[in-house]
Amino acid sequence: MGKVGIDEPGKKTLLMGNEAVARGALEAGCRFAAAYPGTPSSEILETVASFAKDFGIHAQWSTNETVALWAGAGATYCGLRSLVVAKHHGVAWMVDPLINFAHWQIGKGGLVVVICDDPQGHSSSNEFDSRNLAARVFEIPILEPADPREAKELTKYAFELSETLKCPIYVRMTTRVSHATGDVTFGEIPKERPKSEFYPTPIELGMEMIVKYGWVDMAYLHERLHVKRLKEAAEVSNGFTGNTLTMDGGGAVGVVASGVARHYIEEALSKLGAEVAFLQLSMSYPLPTEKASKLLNAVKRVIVFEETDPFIEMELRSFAKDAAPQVAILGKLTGHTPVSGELTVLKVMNALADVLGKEKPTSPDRTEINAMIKPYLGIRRITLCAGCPHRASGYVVRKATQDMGVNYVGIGDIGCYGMMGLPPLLSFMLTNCMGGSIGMANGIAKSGIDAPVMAFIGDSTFYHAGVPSLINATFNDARFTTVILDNRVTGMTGFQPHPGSGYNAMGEAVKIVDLEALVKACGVEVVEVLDPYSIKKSIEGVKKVLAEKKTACIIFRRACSTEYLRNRRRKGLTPPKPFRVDQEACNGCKACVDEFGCPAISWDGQVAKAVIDDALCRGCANCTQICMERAIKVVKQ
Amino acid sequence: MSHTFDFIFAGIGGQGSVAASHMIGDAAIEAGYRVAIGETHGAGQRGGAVLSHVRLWKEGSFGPLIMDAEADAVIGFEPFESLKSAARFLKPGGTVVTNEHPVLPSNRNYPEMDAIFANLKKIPARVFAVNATQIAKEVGDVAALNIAVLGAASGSGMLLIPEEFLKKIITGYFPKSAELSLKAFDLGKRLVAERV
Repeated sequence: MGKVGIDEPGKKTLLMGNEAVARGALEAGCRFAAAYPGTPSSEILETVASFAKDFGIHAQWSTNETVALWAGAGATYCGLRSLVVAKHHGVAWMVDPLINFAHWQIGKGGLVVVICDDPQGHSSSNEFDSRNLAARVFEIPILEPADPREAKELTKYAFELSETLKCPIYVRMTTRVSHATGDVTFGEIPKERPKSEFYPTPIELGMEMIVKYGWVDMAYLHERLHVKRLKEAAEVSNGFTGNTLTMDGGGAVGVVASGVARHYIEEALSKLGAEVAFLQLSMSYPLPTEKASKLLNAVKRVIVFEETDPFIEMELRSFAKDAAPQVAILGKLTGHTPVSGELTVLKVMNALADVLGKEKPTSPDRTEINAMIKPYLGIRRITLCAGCPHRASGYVVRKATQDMGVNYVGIGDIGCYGMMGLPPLLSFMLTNCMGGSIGMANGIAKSGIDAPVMAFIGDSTFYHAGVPSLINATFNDARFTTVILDNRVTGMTGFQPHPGSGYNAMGEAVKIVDLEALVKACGVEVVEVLDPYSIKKSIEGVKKVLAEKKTACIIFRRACSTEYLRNRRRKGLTPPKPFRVDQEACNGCKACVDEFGCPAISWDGQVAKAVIDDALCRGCANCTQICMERAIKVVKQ
Repeated sequence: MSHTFDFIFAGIGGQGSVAASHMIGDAAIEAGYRVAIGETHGAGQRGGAVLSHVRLWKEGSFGPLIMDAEADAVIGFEPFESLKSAARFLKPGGTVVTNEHPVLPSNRNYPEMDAIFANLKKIPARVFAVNATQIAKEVGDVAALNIAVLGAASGSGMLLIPEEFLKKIITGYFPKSAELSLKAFDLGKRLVAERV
């Protein structure tokens, strides 16, 4: 049951914010959980899966976020409490179904949608603020935990609230909450498991409208959402104990904040030696207007701190226009707080110091030390792991196209293999979002350019969003080559299984969805499966496929090297033997360093020869096939 | 609002710095502290620098990020990473405990070791060093590097947490290889030396 499923109420333990969400769901009696992996959200479903069997919970890695939401909502129609998780990119995939579940009705079981935003985009391709979708598009309540303790409590509460308001509840996490670790106290785990029973609640609504209007009326549905549900939600928000107002500081300045920013403010105020009236929001939507009104009528200026958009700020502005027009609302819209990026205590201190007329913090002068460091700052570049099959795949495609004298147009997708776009491989020049490689390749191939087009997509991403893009391409006779980088897992987010892995989130053996058959069924004419670890053979394979000039798919199949090593370790096996460079035989051509770029191979400038770090080498033997002098050999032990 | 004790854990992906920061967190709970640890996961981990912020306190509540030039100590698993983190996060007069074994980048562009230690002293800081990589090899498991660094941190006297709490947590983390891990801890503690 893992450390998070331990049934010891009162036990104090160290949990990551994401683990705390999973524990909150367990303490709420949640029985169904679905997610597609994505940093910073992946640990939530992983943690639920770690104790799922012990508590009669079904936990699944879904193939994408849309189907995860459908699955989760389906369980609520059988009376189960259900948890659906994604990162902010993922909620974009849920938009249509989530609007419908919000306008119509979920089942008798509560539905909690936990979305992990990534202010600063630490592990994402943008930092958009998904609260805008939740409030403006889905029109459902938003809870915003500040730390792991609150992540557990608010998740638990969200199920109850969902059943009270009969709508999905949005728990908005951010990277600094999801990936913060802190002390959390375990609560009770409910022992009763209500019997599953199918009951399609929306049918009541449908009947109600048919009796009233003779047909279902979408405007009535929307009206009901506004006049009934959002009003009830606003009452909840006003009475919510997590929305607290403290009236310190004598009335000049008020502060409003949500999420982790609340802690930054407490620290900043203490460092500045200042006091303010402070409205802290754990439930940021709907705005608790009574508390907001009390704050607005006690101060002259209010400054809002939140990540990343001026979401609360706009709500407050709109409310204050009538409720307290004399109060100045400061924040992102007025240039008083940063318009993008995550907040820090320093950013908060600077903004507060300005508004309060206090001195800004200064930092010690470390110019000399920083000057010494500067030339070395870029020495550890982000790169594919040693032994990564993607590096070999990128190298193979580059060599094959060079041999053919072809300059291809490459489009990338979302996953570890995004790094194939970096030097030295430079496999592609465009990337968008999940499935975008095949999607854009279609348009590029139909645009009348001469160069062959290649779309590079991972196996998990292909199952997620590549399939409809590929069907669209063959349907419209777009001729290009799809390159599926099949490493058997969802590598980037922590090796989660997908339909090609043969097992599921709960570790059960399941049927494999055959990738070759799937690609063929999508209408691809030429399908070639290659092992990227056989470099010469693969180069010939790529040349053969490209020469046919048909709608083609190359599947580079080889297990993720990091996952492979983890599995060996689990089985008690030693890692494969590392290689070394025979210093006599190395002619210093640098092909292994400059063209292949494995992090285990470095360049010794003093003797002008390549060197392999035996601690980093994973024994994949790819470099031995690249070395023209056959100078790379296994370390004999 | 009371104050916090702030530690930065600085290393490279795969060195076990995040696990070590969680061991400190667990031991701190045993010792009666509240804890917040901040870190970023994801792509940045693949061979890149890994940084954890560890904050311990008794009263109040705090976020997971330490302000620049406010950390009480930097616990480093690689010398240049220790310097980088200390230059940004260490308060003047703070403590650095670092592994002295470097991990070279693939182009071998790496500063002189003397320059690293001289600049650490300029912060100014008390600097303690130990060859944790060597200790890990000696005890027979390269993965024990992080435990050797924890031992060194304990030996430097800068950790707030009593040794017995740490050893209890380490034993719990590695039930099968506790003896080996505790040996790495003790060697780190014994061999750590202040650079003056």
